[in-house]
Amino acid sequence: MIEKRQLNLIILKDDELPILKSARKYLPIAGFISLAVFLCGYFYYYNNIVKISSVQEKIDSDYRMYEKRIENLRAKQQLTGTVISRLDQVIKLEKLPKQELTIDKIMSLEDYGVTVTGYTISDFEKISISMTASSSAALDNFVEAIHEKEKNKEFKEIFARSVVREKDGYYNFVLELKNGAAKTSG
Amino acid sequence: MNQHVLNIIKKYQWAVGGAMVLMVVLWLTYSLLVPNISKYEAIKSSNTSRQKKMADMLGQISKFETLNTQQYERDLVNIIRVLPSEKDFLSAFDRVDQLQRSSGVTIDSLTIDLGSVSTVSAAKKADQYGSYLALSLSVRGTSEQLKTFLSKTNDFSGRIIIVSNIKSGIKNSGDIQSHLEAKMYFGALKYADSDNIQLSQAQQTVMDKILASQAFFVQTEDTGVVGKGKKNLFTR
Repeated sequence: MIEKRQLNLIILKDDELPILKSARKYLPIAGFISLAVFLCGYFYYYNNIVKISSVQEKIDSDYRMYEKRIENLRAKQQLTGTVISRLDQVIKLEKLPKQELTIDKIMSLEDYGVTVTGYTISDFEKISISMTASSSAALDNFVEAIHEKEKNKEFKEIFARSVVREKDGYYNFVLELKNGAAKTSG
Repeated sequence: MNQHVLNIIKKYQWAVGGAMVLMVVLWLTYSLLVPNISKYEAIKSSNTSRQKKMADMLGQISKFETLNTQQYERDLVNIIRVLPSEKDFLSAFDRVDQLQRSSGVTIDSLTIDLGSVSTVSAAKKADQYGSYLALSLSVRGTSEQLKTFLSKTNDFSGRIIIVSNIKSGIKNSGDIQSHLEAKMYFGALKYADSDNIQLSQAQQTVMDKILASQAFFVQTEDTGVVGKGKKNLFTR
C-alpha cells in the first residue's frame, strides 16, 4: 500500500533581518566565551591576591622590624649627619679669603719704592691703600709695577685718586683696587 | 497567533540567553574582576616599593650597626670648639685673649655685640655662613704681629673668627694701629639624618686640621656660679 504524501514546492520567503540572523548565531557563542574568560580571570586574580597577600604580610612584618632597627640606629645616624654638616660649614668658612695674605700683597708694594701709610680692606675684596712716594721717579716706577701686578692678577680694577705733592717733595696718593685671585709668593 | 509567538521565542532563545549572559558577565567584570585586578596591582606595586625601600634600609642598617661612633663623638667635641652651638660670650672673650697672647698684638678695645642674652633662639644675626656674634677690635702691633693674629683667627685652635673689614694706619715706627670688624660664628646643633658615614676627603682634611690644632687643647672647666637658676650668665 502506497502512503500518500503532500509535496509543497513553494519556497518560503526568509524575511529575517541579517543582524538578527547574526545575533542568533553569535550571541550564544559570545556569551559562553565571555563567561569562560570571566571565570578564568576571576579565579586567576583571586588566587594571585591570596598568594600576594601572604607575601605582603611577610614584607610588612619585615618592614616593621627594619624600621625598628633603623629607629635604634637613629642616634648614630644623627651624630654622623651632624658632624658632616658642621664640617661643611667649617669648610665654607675656611674657603673665605685669608686677610693676612691680602696684607702681604699690600705691604709688598713697598718693594717698588713707595711707603704704605695705611690701608682699608672691606668685605675681603675692596682695598684702599694710602701711599707716599719720595719722588716722581719712584712714583713712575710704582705705576709700572702696579700694572705688572694687575697683569699677574694679584689686583684688579685699580683706580688712583688724585696725587698730592707735599712741600717736602713727597707724593701722597690713594689707590683703590680689588683683591685679585692670585696670591703672593710669600 | 500564540503559535507564532512561541515560534519566535523558540527561534531566539539562545540569542537572548547569550545576550543576558554577556550582560551579566559585563556587570560581574565591573563589580568583581576590575576591583580584584586593581587590588592585585596595588598590592604588587606596594610590595615592590617596600622591597626596594627595605633593601635601602638593610644597607643603612648594615652600615650603621657596625659603625663605631666614638670617633664621631670625639670629632663633634672638637668641632664645637671651633664652631660652638651657642653664642657663649665667655668663650668669645677667652678666644680673643688667647689670640692676643699667641700673636703678640695689643688689643686696645674689644666690643662684642651681645644681642639677645635671654634665649638662644631670640633674634640673632645670621648670614649665609650661619649665625654670628659681631665683633669689633682695636688692635696695635707690628705688621707681622697683625698677620699672625689674622692667621690664627681661623686656624682651628679655637673659635673661628672671620675678619671681614680692616682699617689700618701705619706709624713712622712701623707699628700698625688697626680697627677690625669680625664675625664669630655659632649655630644650634641641628641633628641631621645622613646616609653618609664616611667623611669626604675635604671634610677629613678639615677634621685633621682641627684635630692637629687642638692636639694640646686643655679644657678649662667653668665652675663659676652666676645668679639664680642659671649655670652662668651667658649660656643656657
